[in-house]
Amino acid sequence: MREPVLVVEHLSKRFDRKTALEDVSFTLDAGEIVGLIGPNGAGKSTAFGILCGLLRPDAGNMRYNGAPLGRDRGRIVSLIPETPDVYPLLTVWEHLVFVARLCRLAGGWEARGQALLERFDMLSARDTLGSELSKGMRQKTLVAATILAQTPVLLLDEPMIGLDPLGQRGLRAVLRDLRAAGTAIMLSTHQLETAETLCDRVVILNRGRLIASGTIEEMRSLGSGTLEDVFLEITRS
Amino acid sequence: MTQLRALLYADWRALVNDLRRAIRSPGRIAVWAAYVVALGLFFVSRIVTRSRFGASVPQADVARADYCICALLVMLALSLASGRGAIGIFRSRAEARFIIGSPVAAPLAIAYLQTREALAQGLRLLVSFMYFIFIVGPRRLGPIAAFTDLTLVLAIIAAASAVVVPRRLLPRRAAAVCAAVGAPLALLASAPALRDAAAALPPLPVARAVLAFVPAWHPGRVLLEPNPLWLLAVIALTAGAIAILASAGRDAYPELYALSIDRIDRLDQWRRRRSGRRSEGKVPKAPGSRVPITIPAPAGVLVFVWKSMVEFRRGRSPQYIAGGAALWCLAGVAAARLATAQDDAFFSVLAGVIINVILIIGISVTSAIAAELRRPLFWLAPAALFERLCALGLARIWRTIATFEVIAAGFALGGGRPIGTLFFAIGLPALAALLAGVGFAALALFPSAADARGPVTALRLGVSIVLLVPPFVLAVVVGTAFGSGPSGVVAAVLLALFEAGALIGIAAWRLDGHVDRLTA
Repeated sequence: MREPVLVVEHLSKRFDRKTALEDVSFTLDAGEIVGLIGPNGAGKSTAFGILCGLLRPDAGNMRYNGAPLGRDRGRIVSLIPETPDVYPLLTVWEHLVFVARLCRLAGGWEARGQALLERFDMLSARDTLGSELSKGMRQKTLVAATILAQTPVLLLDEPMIGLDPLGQRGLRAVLRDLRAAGTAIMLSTHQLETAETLCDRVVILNRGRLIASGTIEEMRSLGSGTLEDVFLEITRS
Repeated sequence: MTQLRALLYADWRALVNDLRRAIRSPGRIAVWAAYVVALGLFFVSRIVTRSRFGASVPQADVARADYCICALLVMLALSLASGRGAIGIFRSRAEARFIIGSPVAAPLAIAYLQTREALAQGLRLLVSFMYFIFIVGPRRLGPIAAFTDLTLVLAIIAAASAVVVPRRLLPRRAAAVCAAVGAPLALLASAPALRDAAAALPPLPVARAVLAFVPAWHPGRVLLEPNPLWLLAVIALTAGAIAILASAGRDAYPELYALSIDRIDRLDQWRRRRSGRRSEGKVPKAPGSRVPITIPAPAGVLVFVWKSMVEFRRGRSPQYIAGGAALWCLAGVAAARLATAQDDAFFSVLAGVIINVILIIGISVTSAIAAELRRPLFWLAPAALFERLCALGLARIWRTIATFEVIAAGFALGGGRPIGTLFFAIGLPALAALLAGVGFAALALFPSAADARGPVTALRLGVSIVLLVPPFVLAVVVGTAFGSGPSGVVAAVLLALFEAGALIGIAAWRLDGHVDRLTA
């Protein structure tokens, strides 16, 4: 049986006396969207920080295609953070140039970048500075720039926050296309309806521990209603 | 008193919680302990070395003191006239809403808040810049006199930043009156120093003739012969301004709230720029938006340098850049003329320039590293953190290097020591890289903003100076051994680059996978 593209095993992380993650294991396969959900302080952002190399775990290991996730993880994993920090003095297009040159993307990226901007309805803002963008536009800029890098694993931390309904629909469509193209996607969200409609599986964290995981149907079968009902039942117990 | 006690309680608890957090970190305790020991040693050294200096004050010291006191007085006058101090009155929106809505008497609350801000600002400056006594303070002053000197300077700065006066209490056109009176006063006050400088410059006979009429009065004597009475005068002035503010009472709350929010927004924007986050407040409209900058972008991590260049070009026309370069070049020419006329003044200025370069590069790279490392875009691409930091350092120092290269060119054009200038121009990039490396390593080891102002800046300065010694020594040794100056310079450049690499390596080792340390 083929191993999932990303395997996370026994991940633990402490900040001083506070345990942020304890013995968390999950997998992520190519062409699937996994929702990472949990109450505030559950350890979702810490897990993402470790996966993209911002933080070093105290214990545990991560493998991509069977090989340890090491120093070249910038080629494999990319993160779209909750706060859309764009460069204030670069235009939207210059953000794409920045990523393309940093990642040494092959020729043809310009057409893909143009298409991404069109997809996010950002073409008219192509030459607008980061400092002049609204929060939603900044989020779209970061998403477009990060997707342009074409990493096989994409992490999104609360990606829908700040986006208008049209932007949310656009992002959902882009994520589905990326899934169809084989990208392994993990997104953290407090919007359980989003997780329910978009994700193939969910991983539920609470106080740094993994308390449940499975497909949406499997999760629903644990309780007596929607994913939200199940989530509230198991995180309160 | 109960009301005042409530206000005191909140600040007391905040202080205690901050201290508790600080003492949980042995590294922070160690760096503060080292800072105190270093200050103590400097203090003792001042007592020992004071006797070596006679009663006469070098002309360079007098000129520097004159300019310093003039700048401070102009700053204070502008602050009094505009009524818009840099600090106070509320520290946050939450504090403003809490106090405005509370039953605490408005005059009491305002007096308390502004006194707190003035004291906090004064103490913060004193702790942060105490080591300045030993770097720029007049050498002939003993430790107590030097301390009084520094306290006076910082008290004026604190007073200037703490004076907040409601606009309606200000005389009409106060700012215009202040500018009209303050500018000639400042010119008059600096005239003695200008006169002395002009006397040393042979090519300016007209200026020398005009300035010969200026009386031999030096405002800088206030600093060279410090007297605690001056300090009392500044404190009394600040207290008077606070009393006027408090007397405005409850009626002033809307104005003070607006002033405070404006300040908080500005501070927030600055902090967010440092940390790489964007302000949720006002959207700044940068000039030159929608103007594509056509600088070819290199591949790989060097794209950080491209980004820095694009950001620099944005909002600056070629004419502006050329004008700036011309001014720096003229500064170099002036320095060359001064150097040929006055050796002691020249070396005093040179020492000041080197210290400023150290501080500027250190500060600029540390702000860059903290901001960039929190951005996920920074971590894209399969490059090691060491490579990224090297590129980031280059992105931050190229402007400083370019500026000083232009000054050096001006210096050479002005006829000042062409061989020495050429060596300086060749060595400058390596020197800047070394200083950037010190900045990176210092931030990686001591990331707390509270430590950065005082002990870490002093540490950075000390380490920079210590690490500059081996390249200079090597340059002299190799230059003498081979009888060739260029060989010495090349050896020094290589050693400085090696030191820079080692320091950036330490920073990369410390920060790789530990970005959370930067939030400490």
